[in-house]
Amino acid sequence: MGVVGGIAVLLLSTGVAFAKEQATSTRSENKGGDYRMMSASTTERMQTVRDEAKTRMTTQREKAMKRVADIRDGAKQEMAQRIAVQFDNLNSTWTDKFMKLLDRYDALLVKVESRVAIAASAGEDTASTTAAIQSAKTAILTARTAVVAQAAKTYVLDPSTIPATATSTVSGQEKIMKSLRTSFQTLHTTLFKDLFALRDGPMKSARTAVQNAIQSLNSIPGADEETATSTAASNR
Amino acid sequence: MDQTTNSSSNIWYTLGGIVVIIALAFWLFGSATSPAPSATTQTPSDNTASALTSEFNQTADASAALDQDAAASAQVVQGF
Repeated sequence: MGVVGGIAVLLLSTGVAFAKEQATSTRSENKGGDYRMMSASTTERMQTVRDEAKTRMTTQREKAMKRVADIRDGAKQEMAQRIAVQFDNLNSTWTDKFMKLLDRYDALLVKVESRVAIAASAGEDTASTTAAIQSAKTAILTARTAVVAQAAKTYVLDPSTIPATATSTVSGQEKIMKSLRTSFQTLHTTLFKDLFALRDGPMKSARTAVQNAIQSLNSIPGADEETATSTAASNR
Repeated sequence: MDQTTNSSSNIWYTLGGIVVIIALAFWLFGSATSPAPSATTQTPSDNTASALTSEFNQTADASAALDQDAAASAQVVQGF
């Protein structure tokens, strides 16, 4: 009778411990799920702003291409058409890269959080690391907003800067080429000024904040213990 | 006296049985709700401070790549 009672209590405590472990695992997986949801919604938002920008600039783009089509030299016309679209392509490429980088920072933070949870359950002081994680999350969110804003920008040739008269004459062609060169240089300068500002501003802040969170984790004694239960067991 | 002893034993057996059933229920419930291993399931060693530092250092900030693209674009524009 006593044996039966003892076995029953043992089974009950095992079941409770197992359920608790599942709850902890579910919580950390939920955090991973939160970051994936945020990443997916930001990517959708980015695509939406890009589509809106594309629609907005369709008329201007078509007019600009008509001006480019006035170039008599086939090779130069082809080159101008390629350059005219490269700025928007570069903007898309880099806003995608920045967003993926932010996704990686988020994934790192999820891992930091799970390690902090283990340290906290082992009785360690994790207040400063928790604060660092929160700062990093804020910095990443700020950077995401900035990247979406950058994705909404367009770098399209302004057709009004390209002469539309006397295009068949030699001097007319020279004027077209000169104005296209100036426009392309302006677009190039503007695009990379914006991208550098994004890289050296919000993106750098996000990276620094994540680095601080990881360094803060490093400063917790016993931060690399496997689990709270193994820590407790090893301390007996 | 015998009847009292018997009924007392029966009560204990009943209580023991109830506790066993509850324990089994916890166990089964835990197995039923445990999610399938996902790509984000991490082994404990993935999130040690040193592993995270290493992973962070390997995550390039794309600074050099942007400089390269800027230079390449400038060259194309200059060549027009």
